[in-house]
Amino acid sequence: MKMLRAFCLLFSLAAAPFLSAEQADSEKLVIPLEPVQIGRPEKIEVSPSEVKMGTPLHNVQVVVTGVYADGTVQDLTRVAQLNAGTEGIIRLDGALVLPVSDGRTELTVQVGGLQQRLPVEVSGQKVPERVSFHYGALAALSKSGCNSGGCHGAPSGKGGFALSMVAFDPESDKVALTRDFLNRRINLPEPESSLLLRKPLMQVAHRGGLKLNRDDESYRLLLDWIRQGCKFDPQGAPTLTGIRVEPSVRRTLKWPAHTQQLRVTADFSDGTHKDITRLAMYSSSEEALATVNAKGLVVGVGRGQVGISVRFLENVETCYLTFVRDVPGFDWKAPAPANYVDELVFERLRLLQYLPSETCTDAEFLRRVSQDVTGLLPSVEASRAFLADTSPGKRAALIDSLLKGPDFARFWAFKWGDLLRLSPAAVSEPGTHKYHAWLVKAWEENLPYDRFARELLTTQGSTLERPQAGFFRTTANTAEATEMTAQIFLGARVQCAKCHNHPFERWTQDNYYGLGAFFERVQRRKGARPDETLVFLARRGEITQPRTGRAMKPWAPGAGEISLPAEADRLVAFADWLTSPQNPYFAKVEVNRMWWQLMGRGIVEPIDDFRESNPPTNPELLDALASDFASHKFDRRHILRTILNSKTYQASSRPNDFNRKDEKNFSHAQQTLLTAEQLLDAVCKVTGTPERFGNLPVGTPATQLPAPQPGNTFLSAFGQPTRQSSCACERQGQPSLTQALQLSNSQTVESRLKNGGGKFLKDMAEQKKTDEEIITHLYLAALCRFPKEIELTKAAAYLAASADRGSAMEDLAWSVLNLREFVFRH
Amino acid sequence: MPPKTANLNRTGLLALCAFAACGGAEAAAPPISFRAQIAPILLEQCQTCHGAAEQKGGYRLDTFDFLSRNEDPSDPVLVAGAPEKSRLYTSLVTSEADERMPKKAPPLPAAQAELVKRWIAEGAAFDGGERTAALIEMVPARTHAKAPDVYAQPIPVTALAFSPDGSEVFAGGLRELTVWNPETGELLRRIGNVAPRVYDLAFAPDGRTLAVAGGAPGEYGELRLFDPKTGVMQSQVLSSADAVLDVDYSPSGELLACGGADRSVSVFETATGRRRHHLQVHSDAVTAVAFSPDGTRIASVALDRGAKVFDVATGKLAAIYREHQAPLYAVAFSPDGEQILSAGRDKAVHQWSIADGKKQRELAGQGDVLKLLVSGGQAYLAGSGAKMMQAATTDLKLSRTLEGARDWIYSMAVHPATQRIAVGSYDGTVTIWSLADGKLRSSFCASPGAGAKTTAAE
Repeated sequence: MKMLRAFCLLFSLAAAPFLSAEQADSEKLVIPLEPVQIGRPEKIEVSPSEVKMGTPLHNVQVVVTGVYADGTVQDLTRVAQLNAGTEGIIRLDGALVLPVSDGRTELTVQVGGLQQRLPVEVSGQKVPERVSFHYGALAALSKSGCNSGGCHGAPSGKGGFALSMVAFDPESDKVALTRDFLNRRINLPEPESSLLLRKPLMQVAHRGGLKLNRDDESYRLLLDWIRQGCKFDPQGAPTLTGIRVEPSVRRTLKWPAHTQQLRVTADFSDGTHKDITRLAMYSSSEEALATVNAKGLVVGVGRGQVGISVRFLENVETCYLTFVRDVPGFDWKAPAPANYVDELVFERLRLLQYLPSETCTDAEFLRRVSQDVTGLLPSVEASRAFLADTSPGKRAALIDSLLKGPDFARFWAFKWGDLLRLSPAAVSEPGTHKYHAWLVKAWEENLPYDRFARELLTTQGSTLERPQAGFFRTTANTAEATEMTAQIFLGARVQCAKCHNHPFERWTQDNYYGLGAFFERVQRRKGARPDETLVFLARRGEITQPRTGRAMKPWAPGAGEISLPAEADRLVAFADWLTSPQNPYFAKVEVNRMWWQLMGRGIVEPIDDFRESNPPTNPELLDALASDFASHKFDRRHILRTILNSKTYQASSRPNDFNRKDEKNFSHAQQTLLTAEQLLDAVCKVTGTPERFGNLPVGTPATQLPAPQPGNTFLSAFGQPTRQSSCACERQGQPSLTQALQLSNSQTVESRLKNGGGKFLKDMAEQKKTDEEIITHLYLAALCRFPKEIELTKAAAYLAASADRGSAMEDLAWSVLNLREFVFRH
Repeated sequence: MPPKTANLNRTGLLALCAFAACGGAEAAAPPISFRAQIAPILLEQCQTCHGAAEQKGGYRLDTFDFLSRNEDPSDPVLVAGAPEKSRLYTSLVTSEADERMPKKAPPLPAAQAELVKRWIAEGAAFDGGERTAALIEMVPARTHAKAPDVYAQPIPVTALAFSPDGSEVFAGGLRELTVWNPETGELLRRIGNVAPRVYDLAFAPDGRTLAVAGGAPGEYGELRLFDPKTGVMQSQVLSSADAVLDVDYSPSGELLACGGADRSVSVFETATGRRRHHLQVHSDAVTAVAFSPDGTRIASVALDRGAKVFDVATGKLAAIYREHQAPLYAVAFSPDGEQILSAGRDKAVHQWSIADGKKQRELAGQGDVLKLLVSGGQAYLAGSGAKMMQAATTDLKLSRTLEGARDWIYSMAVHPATQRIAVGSYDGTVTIWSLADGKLRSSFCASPGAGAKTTAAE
């Protein structure tokens, strides 16, 4: 009965409307190709500038771009008229040029009243072309999806036929294709009869379905490769040095000009080039924004930036395209930018035609910034003071004071405890405390991030004396050290590459072990004292790539193999590379992580999945933050302060009609469930009754714990991680029924309210506060704001009408703790 | 063994002839034969998804019984006389892409759909014998196209056998057997009407019949008997869903065992063509079978890494061996019949006891072992290492290695009387050594017109 009353109260309080964040509008319309409005281009650009085809299997994709007076560009490939010139030299398949016979001619491209002529030279057509095993047969199998992870590229293959994923292991593929299973898949005397072709053509039933057509380039390559005897590439044959994708610069395309034909070129070690537009594999970073077909035609669907990743064997490049579209009624207005963050965010919002939300209220700001910087709610007194303050600089002042306070350092040390997997299971109970204390000190002293990283990655010795050596204590072996370092400091998930080349990215298996070479010599020994681990470097020791059996040299992304003296300290060498200003990842990964911690979503999301095929939603913003970070000597407080002072951070979480669908461009603040620890601390603070954690001093907030406390049902219900992994994803933020039950009906909440159990209620009773004072105090404590008129009236009426005032106060407090406005950061 | 057509086939052929005769007399087209015209279409187009292994959507079409059950009466598969009401026909021609069969594939040629329609309209008569028999077993024996006179490229030699007197060596080719003089590498004759790929050859103990195991990979398997002298096919013993990979006669010649990519082992009585056992005990292709010296047991190995021994009389499992770490390709009995030698892609021969299934000895194979023969107390093995290795079955110690082949070895034959051993390779060559002195006797390309030969004389 009582619970029922309280629920009614809850609903009546919640009736003061609190808008929920609009759910992602997941309408995935398949947008048809719009007719191209050619208009009047100022000029046309045609790529390539000349067509040279020296072998029968060559073909060349022509891409035509219109450049307009207002600076915009449009892909005109689809509508340009191509003329093949002299008969019998070339033929055209749309804008794809194919050779017919040796000779010279001119290709004429006409569109929008403009014309360009391209010299064409065809040679070598009379000489049969050797089909390369790597760049022909394996590329064709990859293009057709045969060796993808879900088909024959799966670890045990499909239907008894196993290929390496995207051909990362050509040696094993050689055997699988030709020798294995009694030469089942190839018919050398009658190549067309090969099972390898008949299955994907569906001439023989194939569970994988139709994967090949006779007019595919892939079919021709595979057939010719078989006709030529399934030869493997001879020693010294040219190798692929890289691929190039056009357009090579970021391009913005405005509806209805929403398509872009890509052109991909492979460069070989002998200086030759080959158009591989029809052989490359394409994928879109976000299908809801743009789709891409097998021929490299990108079609924009939504508004925003998309990365089209282009893969040819182990080479991956990304083409970035931004799709914009006029929104009816859109009229740009925004708060005055506070700093470069706003300028860059607003620039993108304006381009994409999203309107930023208005700036949040003081009360919202106070609660949000306190939660984000310290993990805690402000005191009732602090809230009253801030709300009453009329000085224009009060937000900046609050930010400064929070960043200087002890709660900030402890809360951010706690966040890093998650990342570094601090737990008694990994580094023992005393080890956890020492390591945690080191982290707190680092944040208190604002240890520059480059030195912070260097300390973690290079410290040797006893973990009792130098707790930061715990980094290698939590990573029990080279693989763990490699993976955790990559995840935390390079924002890269490299685990896949342990066993095979990364399916979507350029991380190869060689790269994985090359990176591992930095950590291979790290030794971990038990020390003489209890709970002591000695971390030190062996003078020798090389890591072996298991597939090739080769000892790997230290390798770093972007830098390649790094030559070091035989007994050099490889950890120092790694830290030197990691923290050098040329390192493209170091600063970006950390500013993105700080952005994510404050904004609820990374500029790159997920924050530990930096890869070309997962581009930042606002690259200019990420660049600016990273360069600001580097030029301020990796001062993390400076970056936090910059973000916190921006209008972007201070935007309301209420969307408007022109940003409701935006989730990625920071047009309005995110509403996120408070973390488990924040919520528990908030409940404790409002009720005035702290939670006890083992032997830790009473009053230690959950957001400042050295390590997760086992057995706390409230914390585990709200997704407290156990610190098994360095992935931010280990912290579960999904709402659940258990959470609702924890808030409405758990020991944690009940014991703080019932029977005068809560200090807050006792105080209120003892101090003989009026109903209005009690209600106001409760709102300030829980929500950092004064109650609205209607909330005050309803709550007061409820208190007045109840016979048992103590019990009614419990109901009231319970109702406030169950408000969405309390449970969420907004 | 007298020439004989497996009984079903013979009846079927007679029936077909009868139809042809009647049809000739009248103007109307002859009625459609299920076994000759419809079953082949179902086999070619439907079995992968609606066969014994998988029944997508709950439909199973590998026997006439399953085809005609109509388990959902509101949506029947087959309504005799009413093609438009039969899902078997409507799903072939519907314009709804999601409904049309075969799924994810081009539609059936119009002529095939028309045949199905006519057969149903004519009353969907069944002329295949047992309603529950597998369709693959009732279709008439195929006539294979002639082999090319000259091969565009050499075909890997996946089957080899010496003639009983050792004067000829038979090699599997493309839709044919080629017969060679083992000393000179001279092509003696060619035997046609053989499956596209031949995977094993076995002479009956009396030497008058040659069993040919083969098929079209992924499509069908065949076991046929030929007169080795005339090259005339005597009968087709088996038609199966995928290539037949190995065949062996019992020492008395009364039985014939084969195993194949359809994952089963079959045992036939040579006198009647009757299948005595159909053992579906492997979970992947059966690559080799062998009779024990006394003919009471059969051993089989498969790509599922398992080696098994069966009792011939009962078909019951007598032993299982699970120590191998990779797909298996070869199996043989020790001369006393108490032990098995098995080998495959884990690059070693295991010799193990049938009584307790325990490994006794092991011999490293210098690569994947794909072929293994036991003759005169000696084990001969070969595979990806392109070498022939020899060891006594008593100690399994390597006693001799013969080199001269240049690519993976897939096939092997021994002729004790003439002291010859032959291997066939991926590159199409047959390499023959003398067992007496280990010298290379001849080496020739067994694909007519596609390679060179060398002999000891040269």
